[in-house]
Amino acid sequence: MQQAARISDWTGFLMLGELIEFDRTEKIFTIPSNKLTEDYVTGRFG
Amino acid sequence: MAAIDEELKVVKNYIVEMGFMVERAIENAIASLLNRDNEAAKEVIKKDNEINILDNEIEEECVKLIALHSPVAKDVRFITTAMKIATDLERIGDLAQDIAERAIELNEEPPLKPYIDIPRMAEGARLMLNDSLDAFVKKDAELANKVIDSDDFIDNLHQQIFRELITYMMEDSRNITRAVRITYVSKYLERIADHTTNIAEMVIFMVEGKVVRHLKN
Repeated sequence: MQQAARISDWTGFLMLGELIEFDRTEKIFTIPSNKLTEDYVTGRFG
Repeated sequence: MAAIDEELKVVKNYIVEMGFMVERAIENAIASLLNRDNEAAKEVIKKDNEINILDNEIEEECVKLIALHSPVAKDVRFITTAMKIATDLERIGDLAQDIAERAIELNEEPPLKPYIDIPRMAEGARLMLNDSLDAFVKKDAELANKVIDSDDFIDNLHQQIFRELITYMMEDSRNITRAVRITYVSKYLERIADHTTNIAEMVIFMVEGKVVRHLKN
């Protein structure tokens, strides 16, 4: 996950084949729009 | 529950504990001024060190969290907010100590005038602090906005106190020393309100991810 944050400009979060959120990497890792994304990047699940 | 949750809770509890101590420091400093109580003032000055120690502990805990967990999203916003809140609380603690120091100096002379607006201002600032920390704990951006709006009330009281004390100084130059010291106290309370505004602004950042600092004017 840290590698993804470091090397990419854009990040998408897919769960069970569904695109949950796609945005600028800095947005995904600081203030994601979707709670599922937030829970995933902060290690609350997965 | 993720491993990080336990440690975030530790930081939150530290902030709550520090906030409680700082609130007491404001109350006790103002009480020492109103009651002309040197012992109470000295107690406030002595206790400031405990607040400073908590500031260090919060910083250490946050640095550890960052190093071990590489926090992102709401976690990183929470941790950066907690670190900044600790800094503001530490500064408020110092200002409470300053009020206690001025109280001791003012006690060396007879009272200049009864205090009317200073206690109102102190209560207003203390309430702002209480609300800003409540907003932090409850992640309540609306309450944080209320704190920011209250700042004008405190600023106006400070201006009012300043103008009143100027008239005392113009009337009789022997009033100047005491009037200046009371002006300091008013200024300290105004600064305390500013620090609580900073806390509220950080809470809005934490909850909404929006930077609202330095946007006024």
